[in-house]
Amino acid sequence: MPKVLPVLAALTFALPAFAQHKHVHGEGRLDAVLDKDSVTLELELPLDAAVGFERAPRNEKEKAALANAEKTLKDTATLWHFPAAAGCVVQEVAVEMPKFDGGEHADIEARYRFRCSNPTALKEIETTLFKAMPRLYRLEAQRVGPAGQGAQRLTPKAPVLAW
Amino acid sequence: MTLPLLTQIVAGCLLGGLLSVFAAALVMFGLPRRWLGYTVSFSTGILLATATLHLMPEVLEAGLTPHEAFPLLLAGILGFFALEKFALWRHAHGNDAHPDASHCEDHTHSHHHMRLDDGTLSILVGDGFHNFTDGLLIAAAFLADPKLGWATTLAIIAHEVPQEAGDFAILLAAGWQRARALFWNGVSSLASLFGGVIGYWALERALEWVPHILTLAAASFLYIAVADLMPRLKREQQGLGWHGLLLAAGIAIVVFSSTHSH
Ligand SMILES: [Zn+2]
Ligand SMILES: [Zn+2]
Repeated sequence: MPKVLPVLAALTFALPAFAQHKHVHGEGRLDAVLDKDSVTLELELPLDAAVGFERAPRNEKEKAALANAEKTLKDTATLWHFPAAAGCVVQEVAVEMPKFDGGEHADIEARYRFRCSNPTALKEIETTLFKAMPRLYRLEAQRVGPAGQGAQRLTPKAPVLAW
Repeated sequence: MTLPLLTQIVAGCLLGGLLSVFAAALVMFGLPRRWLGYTVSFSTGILLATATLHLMPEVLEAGLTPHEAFPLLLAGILGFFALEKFALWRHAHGNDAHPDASHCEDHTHSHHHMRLDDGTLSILVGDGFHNFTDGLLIAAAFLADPKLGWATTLAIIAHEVPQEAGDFAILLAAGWQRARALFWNGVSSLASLFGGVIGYWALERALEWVPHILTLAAASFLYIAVADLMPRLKREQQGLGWHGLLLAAGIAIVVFSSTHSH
C-alpha cells in the first residue's frame, strides 16, 4: 500500500496536466481573459478541424487549404463579434500554424488582443469560427473577468461566449 | 408568443399519448385493417427521416463530434435490441407478439375480472416503460430546440399508432372490454407525461447530456423502424404502390416541416 501512494500522488498531478493538453478532433479550446479594458483570446485548434489533415501538405490544394485557414484566423473582424457598445478595437493578432516537425497530431494556436473603450458593455463575444470550419464541433471555453471565472462550451448552435 | 418549455413538453407528451391511443382506437374499431398496414409505412418514413435528418444533425451541432455521436448511436441500437430481448422494453405489434391471438377467445372467461394475467400485464407495463422513455426523449428534444421537440413528438405519435393498435388487439383477444382496454392503454400512455416532466427536471440541470439523449432517441427510432416496422412491410404483398407512397410521404413531411435555418 505505501508503495502505491506515490504513484497515486503522481497520477493525481499528472492527470489534470494531461487532460489539459488532450487533443480531440473536432474540439478546440478558447481562453478568454477580460482585464480592465483589455481582452485576450487564446485559441487552440486541432489542425484537422481547420483543413482535414494533420501532416505537411502534399499538393497545391492542401497548401491552399492551410493558407486559407491562416487567412480565416487572421480575419479578426469576421471571426469575433463584440457588442458595438463595448467599442473594442483589435491590438494584436498572432496565428501560429503547425511546423509539421514529427508527431501524429498538429495544432493551430492563435492569440488575439483587443482594447475596449467601454468594457462594462462587453457582455458577450460571438464567433463565426464554426461556419468557417465545419469540422469543428465545439470549443471548450474558459473565461476570466471582473465577475469571476467559469467554463462554457461553444457549439455551432451556441457560438456565443457570455460573461 | 412562445409557451414556456415545460408547458410545451407536457402538451407534446399528452398529445403524443392521447392522440396515439385515439388514433389506434379509430384504426381498431372503425377503419379497415389494411389501413393499419399503411400507417406502418407512413411511420417508418417519419421515424427514419426524423432520426437521420433532424436528430443526428442536431446532435453534431450541439457539440458532440462524429467520433462520439456515432459509437453512441451504435450502442443505443444494440442497447434497445438487448432491452427488447430481455422484455424490458417492448415495441411489438399484436400479430407478431401473439400469432395465435384467436386461440385466446376460448378462454376469455378467465380474464373477465380485474385480475391482469402475465401476458396483458407485461404488455401494459412494457408499453408504460416504453412511453416513459418516449417522454424523456421528447423533453430532451424540446430542451435542444422547440422545433425539434415538435418533430420528435410527431415521430413518436406516428410510431405509437401501430403499437397501440397492436396492444388493443392483444387486450381484446384476451377478453377485455373495449372501454377497459382503451382506458388502461390510455393510462399506460400517460407514462410519457412522467417521462417528460422528469426528463425536463433532470436535463435542465445537466444540459450537456441533451445531445447524448438525442442520439439515443435517434437509435430508438432507427431500431423501431428497421427491426420492427420494416419486417412487417417486407411481408406485405398488396398495395405496394400505396406503401411506397406513404413511406415517401412520411419522409416528405419531416423534410418539409423542418424550417431549420442555418
Ligand atoms: Zn489530431
Ligand atoms: Zn415509442
